[in-house]
Amino acid sequence: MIPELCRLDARSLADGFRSREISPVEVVEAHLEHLEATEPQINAFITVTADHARERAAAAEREIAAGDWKGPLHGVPYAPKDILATRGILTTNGSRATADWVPAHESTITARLNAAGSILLGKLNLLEFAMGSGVLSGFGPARNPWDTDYSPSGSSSGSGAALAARQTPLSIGTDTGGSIRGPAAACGVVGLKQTYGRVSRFGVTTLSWTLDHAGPMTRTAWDAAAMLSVIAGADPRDPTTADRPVPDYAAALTPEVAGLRIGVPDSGFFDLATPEVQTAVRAAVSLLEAEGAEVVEVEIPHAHLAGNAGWIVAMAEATSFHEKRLAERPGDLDPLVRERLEVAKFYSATDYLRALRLRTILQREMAAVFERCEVMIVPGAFSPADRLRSEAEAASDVRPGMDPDQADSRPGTTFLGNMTGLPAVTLPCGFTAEAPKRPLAMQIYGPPFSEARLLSAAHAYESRTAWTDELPPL
Amino acid sequence: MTESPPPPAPDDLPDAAPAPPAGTLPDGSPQTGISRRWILRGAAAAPLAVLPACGAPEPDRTPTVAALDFQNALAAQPLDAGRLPTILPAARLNHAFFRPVRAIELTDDLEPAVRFHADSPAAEPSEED
Repeated sequence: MIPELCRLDARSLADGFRSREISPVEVVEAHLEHLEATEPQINAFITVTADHARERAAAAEREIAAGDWKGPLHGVPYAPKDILATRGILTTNGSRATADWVPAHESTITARLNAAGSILLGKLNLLEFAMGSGVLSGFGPARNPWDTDYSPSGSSSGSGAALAARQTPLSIGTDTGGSIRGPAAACGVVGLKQTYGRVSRFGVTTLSWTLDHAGPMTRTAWDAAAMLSVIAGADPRDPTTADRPVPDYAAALTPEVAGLRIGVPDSGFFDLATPEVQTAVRAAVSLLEAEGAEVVEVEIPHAHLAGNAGWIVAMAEATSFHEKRLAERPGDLDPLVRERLEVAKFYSATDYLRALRLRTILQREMAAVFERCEVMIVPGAFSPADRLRSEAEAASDVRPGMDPDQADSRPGTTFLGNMTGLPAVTLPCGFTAEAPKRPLAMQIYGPPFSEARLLSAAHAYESRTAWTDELPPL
Repeated sequence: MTESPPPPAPDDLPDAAPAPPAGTLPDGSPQTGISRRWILRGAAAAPLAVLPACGAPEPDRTPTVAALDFQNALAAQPLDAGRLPTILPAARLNHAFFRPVRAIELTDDLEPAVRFHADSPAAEPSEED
């Protein structure tokens, strides 16, 4: 049974704190008790910072009572993926190779959340270095709260699982090929991969310099908007950040969609999804259309290659980043991480550059899409959550019975966002009819720096549906 | 790797051991360009019989252990040669992933998008901020 205080989203908690109906201290205690009870099933946390959280909660309570309210995240707990450096607090990257690392610096994201009064509950499990198997990663697999035999997807596996299990109301994930949006889809929560450069990557362990993003994972679009306003903005320690003003994204949300032009591509997206996913996402589009949105067909001719090309870029850069670790501590790595890094040593420079030139094609094609529409809606994932793999299946990308020479397709709905740098938000839009009940998800893409519009579209959909209120059977 | 500034990676992420001093190979021997000794060292780790087959691997031929061994011998930090048969199926899988990317036609005007820059033309459609 999930405690009442743990069922509240960040917005409700903030309202309760300001009105003094609930206190940060009791909310933190409720979450600590709940995660202690559920962790044996979920394994979402690598580190729990209970004492730190209690101290911060007491301080937040005093500050709010004294009228020193820092904003909508003040007193609200959060737990980031354990790939964000936290000064003086264990940061493992989900790997035995860095299992004892206590950073001397703080990531910009966690520093900004802390300054906003948000309270660190702990650090969350992940696929090792954001690219492992999960099953064989350093701290074992996080499990999907909707059915613990199923995967929460990855690589922000602990973030998706902890949010769905109501162990934390807020999280931060990272996304190089879909690692925020995949777990959001599999676990039935909201995941935002904002525009490249909108949020600093300082203190986030690299997977791929070109494709990495770190962003909010929450239970509602409003919460993601509030979180984005806190963490976004220029950072001199990450020269790729955009020097643009940061709006109050939550204040800008509107449930109105009249006149909103929604692009819907078929090829490479809906045609590859399960019938149930297709039906759920098309129903979501129809709901918005019935509220006054206009639907137009769009086409991205090379979208089907985003995953293939993105893989080249991601793995080549990961191997460059981890080259020394791979040479000196290969036995400490998840076997899948080791295999991927070793194989990428044999990529050619011309293949890598070819992939980056395809990136230019995709950016041009998406620019053409957004001349016809303001947002584009596609499935969040082609199918609901999969079963957790066995150790034998998890050890290699080459699954038993697979002909590796014929596996020339790497389909997906998320790599397009990383290859173009464009923002996308994933949110639940239904559940499977057959047991076990698992979430289905939609994904909304937009042009650069259109996060306010994306989150408004998500908020508009949420305000007309109740998927985010559903609770997993814990 | 890219023209962009250095990334914000943590500067104190632990590594197992210090890198060899500049100008030396991982085994401590002096690096004098790609020396004959270095190539022979790599070759010594694999059956000599495969070497004549190595030559210059054809770019689109499915990888073989011999082809991997040829490249491995030239790497700054070569893998243990015993790993090559183990990773061969995954190398073939990656080769298959790349096949459709290699098949697309790239026009001369297509420069690589090494980074998404907020001030680049790709970011222009914004009207949100």
